[in-house]
Amino acid sequence: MQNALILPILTIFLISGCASTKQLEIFTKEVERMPLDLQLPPVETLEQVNLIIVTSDNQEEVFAKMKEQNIDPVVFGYSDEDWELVTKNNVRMRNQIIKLRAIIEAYKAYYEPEEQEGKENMFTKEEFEPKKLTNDD
Amino acid sequence: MLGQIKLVFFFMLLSGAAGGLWYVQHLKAENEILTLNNAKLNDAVEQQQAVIEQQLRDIEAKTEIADQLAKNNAKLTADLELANEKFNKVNASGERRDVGNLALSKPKSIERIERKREQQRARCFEIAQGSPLTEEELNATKKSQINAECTNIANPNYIPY
Repeated sequence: MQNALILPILTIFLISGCASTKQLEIFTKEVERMPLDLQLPPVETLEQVNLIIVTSDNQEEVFAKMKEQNIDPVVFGYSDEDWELVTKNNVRMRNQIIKLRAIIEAYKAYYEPEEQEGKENMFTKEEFEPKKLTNDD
Repeated sequence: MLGQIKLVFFFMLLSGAAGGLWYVQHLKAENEILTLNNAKLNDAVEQQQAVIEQQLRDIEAKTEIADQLAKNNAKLTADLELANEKFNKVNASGERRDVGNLALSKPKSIERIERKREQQRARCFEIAQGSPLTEEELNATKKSQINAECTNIANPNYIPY
């Protein structure tokens, strides 16, 4: 009689004790990657080259002048049509540099905004002083 | 016999009271956990909203960058067209400019012009690499002041006339 009453009661309490609510675990830990923060290379200053126009009429004069200046009398030349192509190729190469640079800067501004704050230009005046054209040019 | 029954009822009542007390405490603990869970869920919702807002900002930034790059590329295409135009300019009498003929008739002048252009081209490469513009370049508003090889990037204040 005693067992018949006590056992079911204890069993009910035991079963209800097992049904506990578990605490939620939300993992929101984010490990940020170190920003690469690479600097673009410094400005490369191109060497000054002197163009010489050689025609069928002035060739002797040009070569004589070159000899006078102790320059080997030889000319690596382009025809006028090819000179046009070389000039356009220069523009294409320059444009490509600008486009690639703009993409790199856009990536940096997008992914590393904190590093880019306060940076207007990659190069300071101390790092690179642009050359000026002289009047007789 | 009656005493035994009383004893059994006493223990039953005692265990019932103890069980009730334990159950209430258990409910309280569970309630606390549920409250904490609720708070965490609210945090998660807030975080998700922040993520959505960040994504919207990212989309806006991406669009802005793409627009800017497209604008710059259009300027660069204009520079290439300008180079093409220089060699193929048609004069008032309808003749196409021929650099070869000009060089034949005026070799010294063309040499001087091309040497100057070569210097300007070199400067254009420097600007393309990120060299800051000089005051002269920034203030250039006349044809004689500009870098004719890359006016679009070298002389932002020059308006062609």
